[in-house]
Amino acid sequence: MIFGHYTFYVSLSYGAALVSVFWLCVKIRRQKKHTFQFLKNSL
Amino acid sequence: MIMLKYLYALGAPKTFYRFSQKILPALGLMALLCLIIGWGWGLFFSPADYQQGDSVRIMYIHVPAAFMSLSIYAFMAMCAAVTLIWRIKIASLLLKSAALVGAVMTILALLTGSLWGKPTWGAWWVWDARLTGELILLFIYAGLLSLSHVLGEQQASDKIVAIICWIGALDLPIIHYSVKWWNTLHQGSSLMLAAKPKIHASMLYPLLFSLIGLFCFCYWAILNFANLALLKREYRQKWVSELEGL
Repeated sequence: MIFGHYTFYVSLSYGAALVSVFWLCVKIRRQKKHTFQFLKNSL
Repeated sequence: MIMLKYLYALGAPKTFYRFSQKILPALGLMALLCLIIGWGWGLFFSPADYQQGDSVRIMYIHVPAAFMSLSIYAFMAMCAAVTLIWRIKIASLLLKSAALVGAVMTILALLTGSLWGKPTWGAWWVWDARLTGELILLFIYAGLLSLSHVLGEQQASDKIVAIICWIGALDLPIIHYSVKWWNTLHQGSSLMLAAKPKIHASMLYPLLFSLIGLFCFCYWAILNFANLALLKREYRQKWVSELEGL
């Protein structure tokens, strides 16, 4: 319990931040794959 | 005048794509470094608050996320103005790409605000002017995202989304000044551009690193989304077919 009885709130906040950043990165990666596939097919 | 000329040049799809491909790696690296330093420092090395204890560490997530939710909307309103006045396509692509990132930042700000509110105020949520304004901002982001999704890639969609974006911009001054106009539970600003910061340097520096890191990350994501949308929109153009990897 590194942050005493605030551990739950602090870890959930940092977890949410990491999930948000990670989710956006994954979304960009997927969209990039999809767009380049679309471009290859249309050429 | 030179600035305007430069902006016009940047409005050309090919120039914009080449320019953003050049700055994206630097922006991404800066975001990664600043976020690791800011969040690492805030979580493990910055001191606990004398009143709020360790719950103050949520500030290093909440404040940058809330700042980004507002600044991204202000950026979108600027793009909307450029779309409506000069009809530059890139501006409308940036507007639509920024909506998703802005919505994620608003959700993060509301969620971390709630997680900070419970141990300090004793409530997950209060119908305070600042909180309600931020919730309305989330609904505006959601509305803009659905609208651009429904209207698709039509020419008219750019104009409609830009007009709705401008109407939604009325919420920005309400959120920003809510802590001054009304007697709110939410505290006033601790950081202002023209004034001396109200927080100690041991907390200010990790907060600044987190702010710069999240700022760079958000614009890195916006530029990436805008670039991909641009490639899809311009796929018939010669410069797209000449790209490496195709």
